Amino acid sequence: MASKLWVDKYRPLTVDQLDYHSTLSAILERLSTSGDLPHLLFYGPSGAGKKTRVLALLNGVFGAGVNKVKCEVRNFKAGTVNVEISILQSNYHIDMTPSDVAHRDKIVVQQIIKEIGSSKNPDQRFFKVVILNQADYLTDEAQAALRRTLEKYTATTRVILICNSLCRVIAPLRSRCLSIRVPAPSADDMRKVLRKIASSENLELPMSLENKLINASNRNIRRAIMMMQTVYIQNSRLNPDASVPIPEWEKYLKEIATNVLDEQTPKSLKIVRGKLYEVLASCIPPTTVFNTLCKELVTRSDAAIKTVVVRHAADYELQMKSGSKPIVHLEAFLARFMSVYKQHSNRMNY
Amino acid sequence: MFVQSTLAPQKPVVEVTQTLPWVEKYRPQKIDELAHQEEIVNALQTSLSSGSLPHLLFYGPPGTGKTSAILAIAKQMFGPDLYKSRVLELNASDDRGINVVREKIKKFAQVAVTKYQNAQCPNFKIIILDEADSLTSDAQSALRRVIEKYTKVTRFCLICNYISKIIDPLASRCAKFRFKPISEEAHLNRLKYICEQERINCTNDAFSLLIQVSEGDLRKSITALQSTSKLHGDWISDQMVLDVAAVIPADVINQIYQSLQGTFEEVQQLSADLILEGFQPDSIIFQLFDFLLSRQEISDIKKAKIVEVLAEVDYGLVAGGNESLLILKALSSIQEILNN
Repeated sequence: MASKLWVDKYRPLTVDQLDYHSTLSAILERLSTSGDLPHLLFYGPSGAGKKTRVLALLNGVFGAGVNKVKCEVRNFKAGTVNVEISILQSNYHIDMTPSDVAHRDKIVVQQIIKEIGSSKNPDQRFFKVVILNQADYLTDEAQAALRRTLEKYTATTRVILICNSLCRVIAPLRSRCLSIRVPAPSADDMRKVLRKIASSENLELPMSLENKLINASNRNIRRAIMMMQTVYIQNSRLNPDASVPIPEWEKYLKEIATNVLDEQTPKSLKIVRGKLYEVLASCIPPTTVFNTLCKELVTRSDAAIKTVVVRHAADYELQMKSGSKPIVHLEAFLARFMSVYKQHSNRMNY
Repeated sequence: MFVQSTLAPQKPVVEVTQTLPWVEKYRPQKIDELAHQEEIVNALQTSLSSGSLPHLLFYGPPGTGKTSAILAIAKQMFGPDLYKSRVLELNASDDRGINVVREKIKKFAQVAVTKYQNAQCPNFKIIILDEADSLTSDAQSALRRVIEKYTKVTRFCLICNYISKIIDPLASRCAKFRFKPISEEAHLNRLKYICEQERINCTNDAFSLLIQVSEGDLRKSITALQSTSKLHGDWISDQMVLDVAAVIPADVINQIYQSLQGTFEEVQQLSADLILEGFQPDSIIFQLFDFLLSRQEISDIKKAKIVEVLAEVDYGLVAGGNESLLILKALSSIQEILNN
């Protein structure tokens, strides 16, 4: 059976199918029936359902034609260089992630909006929609370029920005859009969705597994559904005793934390360094490494040094962002932790 | 033929005015409609009546009327007929490398203007460089000579948020005008005017909240007003504004304060939740800052320490640090300060 991923199969298509955040859905409903949209800015953690809501909203405005998309690779000329970007396009909207092309995103953003702004929508509606994913990763130039473009082409174009964090979206851009917060689903919301999927698949979802899924997914609905499907594929049923798969790297990072807590010497640091290299080589984002390590170390160390550890983690992470080699900063953090930890335990012993 | 025309399908009448954002719709058409910037309005009025204009450099925070001011004065000077041929508007969304300065701007600046009998119309053109702080410094240096050379027929107007990003030689060639954040009174008047025009009922609380949230940015409050009216119809209360304006509700801030007096684990849990709820770290920092400073029970020395932590974290957020780590750092450090 060539089955679809459950995340795609059970993605709500219209606003009234949305499972949780009913007040937000009511707002979207009103927006879609008014027939006109302001520029929108959706923000919230990943796996909260931002994209689903955007598409449902467009579905409400334009009808089902929005879901007929084709994928296209477009070329943009930037002086002498060509920039290539793949976009999803329907008759009514264009969906793209301009940050894919790194620092050349400005050209893409400008040209695509100008292009759309100058062509009419085939429908009687007078505007088309451009969805820009990961708006927080747009360069400052691209964001500045968006400012006037948003105003200039407002008669024919609406822009929907999607991002995780508003901090990195510049203020002039924020003030031009209606911001909509999409919080992560609560445990009860997730329970509802998981049960609904299980019953449409004619499966029984045992309570214990359900709780495990909810705990392990950290309120990320996409991850929870994926994990449930993984369990199903591995056991061909939703086994109550099945262990929810923890990613390999998370186990590995726990091991590193254990190493650091066991022995605070240069020798141990050397062992840890090898392991860190391995983690980074398998493309785990260094920020995630910082987060996981910090959480692990904080839970397992004494209350008196917790705050200090967090402070160092945040500082070294920030330093890493402006530096070039993540490994140096990760190691510096662990070395610092060792010293803090050892000093504290010495003080406790004497 | 007569019959035919009555049978022809009626074109759907599209009300373009409805789709226009209010910021555009209510952009001042005349210079004296400009909100709050009296000194600038006076200066520009004088130059309008005398028909002479220096090179201009407008700077100030977003939403204070910089672009509106120059557009209004250009419209008044040239009238709708001449506007197109006399004004060149370039902003950051146009390509503005050094080549554009050398070719497009120079070409436009060079052309002499025909003299009109109408004494009202001054004999120069205006080039508006909006968002000039995003001009490359190469392009800015190239502009220096251009500005001087074509002074006879062309006036430049540079608009920017940060005057420090404009190179000195360029700034010294222009008359500088600083646009200040819109005062509460002017803000209120403008919002009330728009509400009257759009036939919207808005409670006084909602007005004051809009003004408070927008921090002197008129565009922000007008956009928020329009968004709210779009979502909730023509009666607006403060609660609806709160929903739209991305403000963190007071009870969440209270909850943070509660947990600050608890254990580290509570703070850890809470900061993870805050991020998952999608609250913006920078608004958490700002609102927490206001809240903690207004608490009587916290001693001054502790407040000073807290502010230091918040400043550090705010810098971290802008510089691109990880949000969950930074928020946890802020909250746990404040907790330590409070409990010592």
